[in-house]
Amino acid sequence: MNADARISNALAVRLMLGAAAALLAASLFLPLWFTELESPQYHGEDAIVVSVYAGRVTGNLREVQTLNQYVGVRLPLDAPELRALPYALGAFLALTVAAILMPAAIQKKALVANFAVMAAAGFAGAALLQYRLYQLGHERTRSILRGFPNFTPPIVGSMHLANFHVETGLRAGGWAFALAIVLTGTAAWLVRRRTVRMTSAALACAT
Amino acid sequence: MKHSRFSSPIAILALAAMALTLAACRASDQQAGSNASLAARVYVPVGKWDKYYAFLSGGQAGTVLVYGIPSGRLIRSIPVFEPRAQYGYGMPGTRSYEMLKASGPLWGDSHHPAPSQTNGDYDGRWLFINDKANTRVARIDLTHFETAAIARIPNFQAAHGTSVVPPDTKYVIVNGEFLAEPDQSKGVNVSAYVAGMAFLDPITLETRFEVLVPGNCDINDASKDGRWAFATNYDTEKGVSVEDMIRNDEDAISAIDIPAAEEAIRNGEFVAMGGTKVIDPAKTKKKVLYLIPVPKNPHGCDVSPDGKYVMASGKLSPTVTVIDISKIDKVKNPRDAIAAQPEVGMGPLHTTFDGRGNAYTSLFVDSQIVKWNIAKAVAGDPDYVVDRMDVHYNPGHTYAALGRTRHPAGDYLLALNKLSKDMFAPVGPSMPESQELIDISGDKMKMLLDFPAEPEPHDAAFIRVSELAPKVVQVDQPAPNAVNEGQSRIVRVGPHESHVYMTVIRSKFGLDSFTVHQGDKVTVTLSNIETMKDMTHGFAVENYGINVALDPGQTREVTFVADKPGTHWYYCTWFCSALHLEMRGRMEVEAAGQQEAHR
Repeated sequence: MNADARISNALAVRLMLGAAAALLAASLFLPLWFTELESPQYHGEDAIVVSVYAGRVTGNLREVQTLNQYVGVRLPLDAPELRALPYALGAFLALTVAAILMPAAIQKKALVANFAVMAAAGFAGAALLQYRLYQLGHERTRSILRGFPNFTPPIVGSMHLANFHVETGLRAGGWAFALAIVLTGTAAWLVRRRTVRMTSAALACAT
Repeated sequence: MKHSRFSSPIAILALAAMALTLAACRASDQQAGSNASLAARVYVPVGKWDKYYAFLSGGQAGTVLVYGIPSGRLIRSIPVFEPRAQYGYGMPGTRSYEMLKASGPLWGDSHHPAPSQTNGDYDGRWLFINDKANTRVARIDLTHFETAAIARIPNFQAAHGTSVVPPDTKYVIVNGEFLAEPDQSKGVNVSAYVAGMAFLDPITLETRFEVLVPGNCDINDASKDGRWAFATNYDTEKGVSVEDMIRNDEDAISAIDIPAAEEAIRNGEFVAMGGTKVIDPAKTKKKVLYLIPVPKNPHGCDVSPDGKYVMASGKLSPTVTVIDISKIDKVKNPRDAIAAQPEVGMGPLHTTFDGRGNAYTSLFVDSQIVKWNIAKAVAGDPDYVVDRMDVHYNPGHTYAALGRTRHPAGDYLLALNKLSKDMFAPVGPSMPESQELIDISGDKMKMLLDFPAEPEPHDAAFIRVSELAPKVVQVDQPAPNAVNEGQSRIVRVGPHESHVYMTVIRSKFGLDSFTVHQGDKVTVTLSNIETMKDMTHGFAVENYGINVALDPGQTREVTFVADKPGTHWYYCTWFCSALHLEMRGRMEVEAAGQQEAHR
């Protein structure tokens, strides 16, 4: 076994946590989730794209609002979880940075806790999003178009809605958050071992 | 034997009939096949775009027509010198109405569309167009396909030939065609009659200066380096009757030395007249005007793409006079500047170019387009005519794609025919005009397509769709005076004046109703707050003659006097959505006295 290939446990964990911190910081500014609506009249550059960022929603909201006069969807732009997003991500970032600086003795427990909190937040966020999407399609203020059924867009996936093809999914910020959770979990697992043999994949992941 | 003797001629006849039928079938198959291949050359699949925007002057409609080439589909007509309700252009009480009204009558006669140039090629910024009937010129903003400015040209009558000065559109040059006295306040003064050429600022359209030219100025063009402005003069006799106008055997191409004219202005060698500076070329130290004799009553005036020659199409003479531009100020005898005078056919009116050394001249009398080789004609080679093609009928202008730039495309040529006669199903005694699209990419011309137009296009200019389309704006950024969402309101600005501010978006006006007093001067500011292209809305007030059209992002204003009391619905005139019919509101005009009763 080449000595260079061995790297101290502590350094590997800190590299991973550093990467997780960077990803969390990025997720504060990058789009987390999107939905794209395409139809014959709304295609190419005219497709309606709505992006959810930490604390804000962007895209052609005016067009969504205009089309809403037919379907009565209420966009949950004032949802508390949307306003809480930047604080939650900021808190995870602070916890991760703290974990990097911690002495090894308490790092292990802290990392397990961090992972548990972030993973739980991730699942809760996804569940809330799915609930909001259900609400959006079911608790409509009015529907002047007769024969327009209730609907539930998926968190990640696609569906047909009237003349629209709807795509939903994670964007860079969402993937960054998911990866930060994975890195934190991996770090929590690694921290229990004395040394780790860094494979090139792990190195790439950590840097 | 009898039988066989009898039957032989019948058999021969039958065989002959069969052969004839087969031959006829083959001919009609070939015809169908060639029609199909021609059709394929001009077919643009559904949802695809044409290669060129063809800007055709609308003639007496005072418009510019925009066709797609090669399909011949009408894409748009741009109102310039006439009001047009569907675009809210020139509608009473609006800014475009004030612009149009301030410049002259509410109609025009547009002839020569001239796109702006940068480096000698079309730059897709503006299109200039004349109004022969009211001595005006207009600038169309090609980002919006909308008339941006109109100006009257002082001192002259009949703004005819219209071009830009290459390479960078330093001036728009407009010919004042008819002879007339510049100062008409004292009545008729035949001895003061002038015609000439006006040099306009391309942005403001202000006439920077004018140069008097002896006789009527017909068509114009400018040299590619911007040194010379050319015009054909068909009445150097200064006659005012037909007989007088055609008396002499020769007229001229006038060549104005633009730098020399600018120097004359700087030296104060001009007369201030009609708000501009007028140069009499007989009174300048440095020679400003050169006259090159050409056969009488020439028409077209066209500079070759390489900038070497200016060509006068003969009209009454079967020739095109090819003038070597570099020799104009070098030769003692102006006749020595003539490089060639090829005979091309009867009634040559206009000449255009393919960029491969060929010229194409429309022959009004012969009803033909003739293709001829410039170098061969100049070299004296008798074999300069390459091809001829019949057109239907009596072509006026002809335009080869980008033929007036430094880089002609050499693919399509449009013949703008003056008469269509039997070419289209009759639509009453007045027939549509006929345009014919010809493939000029090979040695032989190929007729591709004809398409009608309302009367009557005179001239055309093509701009590549790939170059212009990206510059076209479809959703405007909100203007500084835009009404924002949630800010629709009515403000009483004076005892007899109200200002209404309204947003417009599918499928609602910002106000369901507003109330004014009878006799109020009412201004309505409307902002289309749509962000999606093609979502145009209108604002028409029932029985008030008020009509505004608003494209996405645009803010428009209309001012009127609420002189009729009662309820007047306003509604959206552009079918915008499933709730289009519901998109309306009420203007309530309280009768005089009614508001006092309320107090």
